Amino acid sequence: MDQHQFVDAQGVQIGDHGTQTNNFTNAVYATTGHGAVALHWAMLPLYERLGGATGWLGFPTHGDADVQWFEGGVIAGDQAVPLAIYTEARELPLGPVRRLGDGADQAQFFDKGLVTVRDGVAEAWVQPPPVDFFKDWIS
Amino acid sequence: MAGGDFAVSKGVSTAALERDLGNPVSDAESLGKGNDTAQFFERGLVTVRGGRVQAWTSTSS
Repeated sequence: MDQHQFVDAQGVQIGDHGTQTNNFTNAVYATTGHGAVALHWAMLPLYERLGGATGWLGFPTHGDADVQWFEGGVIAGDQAVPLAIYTEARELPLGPVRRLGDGADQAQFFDKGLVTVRDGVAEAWVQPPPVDFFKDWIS
Repeated sequence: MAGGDFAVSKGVSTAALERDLGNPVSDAESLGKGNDTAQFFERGLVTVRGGRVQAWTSTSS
């Protein structure tokens, strides 16, 4: 079903715990756990490209002008970030989440660093200064 | 793991040495689509993005 299609006030059932209702400025997602959350149209193309409410982001839970939170991640700026990665980085991503290797591991670059998720464990990385191998020789 | 068990490209090896990351603990892994890679070392990580080599250290260590 085209999720941009206008539907009645009851919304369209999505999965087993939520509905989506579209209006002129946003799409309203309602779940028993999070209530009704409006998602602005500007976010919908990315959200739908990632599978919408049935994708890894899941249903929207809350948000503000900078970050929209979902069950499985956030949309910050023009990128989506898995929850485990955003919890470590807490800043806007520079690009999309990337698959790391051949399995389920992930990585995403940020302005001040990089976050990896290996075997489900998120880890933040920063760029270290060059090592001065001669510092002990000069005193 | 002693060094020498994993292949390391020259650029990655140089970056790891300059930042004192120790020996590699994995082969280079693909990082998204294209030729970008990531390789983990005893004390860090080296990524290659668009030909640019960057060394990283964990904030938890």
